[in-house]
Amino acid sequence: MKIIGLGMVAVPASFVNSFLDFLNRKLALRFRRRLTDFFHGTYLKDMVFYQLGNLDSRIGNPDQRLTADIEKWANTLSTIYANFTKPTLDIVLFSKKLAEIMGWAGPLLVIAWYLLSGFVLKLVSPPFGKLIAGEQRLEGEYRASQTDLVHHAE
Amino acid sequence: MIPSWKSPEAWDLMILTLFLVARTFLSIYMASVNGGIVNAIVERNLSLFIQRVTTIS
Repeated sequence: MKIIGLGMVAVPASFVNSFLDFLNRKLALRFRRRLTDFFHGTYLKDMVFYQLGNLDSRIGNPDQRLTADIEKWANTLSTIYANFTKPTLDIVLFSKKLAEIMGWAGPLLVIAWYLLSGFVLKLVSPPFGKLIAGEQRLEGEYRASQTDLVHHAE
Repeated sequence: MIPSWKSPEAWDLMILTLFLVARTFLSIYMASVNGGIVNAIVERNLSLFIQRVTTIS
């Protein structure tokens, strides 16, 4: 029975999927470590943390930025690569495969349809970037207020 | 701060790329096998269906 062949493809396929996840997280962790090292190097040197917290109001909530924001940024950066390159390669290879079977008109029509629907989505969706920036700012303020509360609880 | 071309990050990125490409080819292979089986189902061709489930071309 050659159905075992399909099963034998499924084993490396599931391995590849999990390994991709693993690599993504590993990459995110490396990014985070690098950024944390760098920012703490500057933050802790020459009393910068004191100036930042008490004298200068340009950067609010440095604690939130140094912990949660760096982690989120590293995670997002590591997934953005996989999420961008894989679909691009998929589109090219699948279109080629489809074109061998049914000519180029089919894949081109599908791509045109996706572009159109993406454009419409872009038009009607709210400004997510601004919303998320606002959310992060509020999270930081909330966290800072909690910390203040603990400091003044004596 | 910015990773160089010989940093572990660059290695990770390269391995990640390799595996992404591998996954794409695997899913194309799976799709073609599935397509053959579904084709036999749609044609209601039992012998072709059994043949395509049991043999991998």
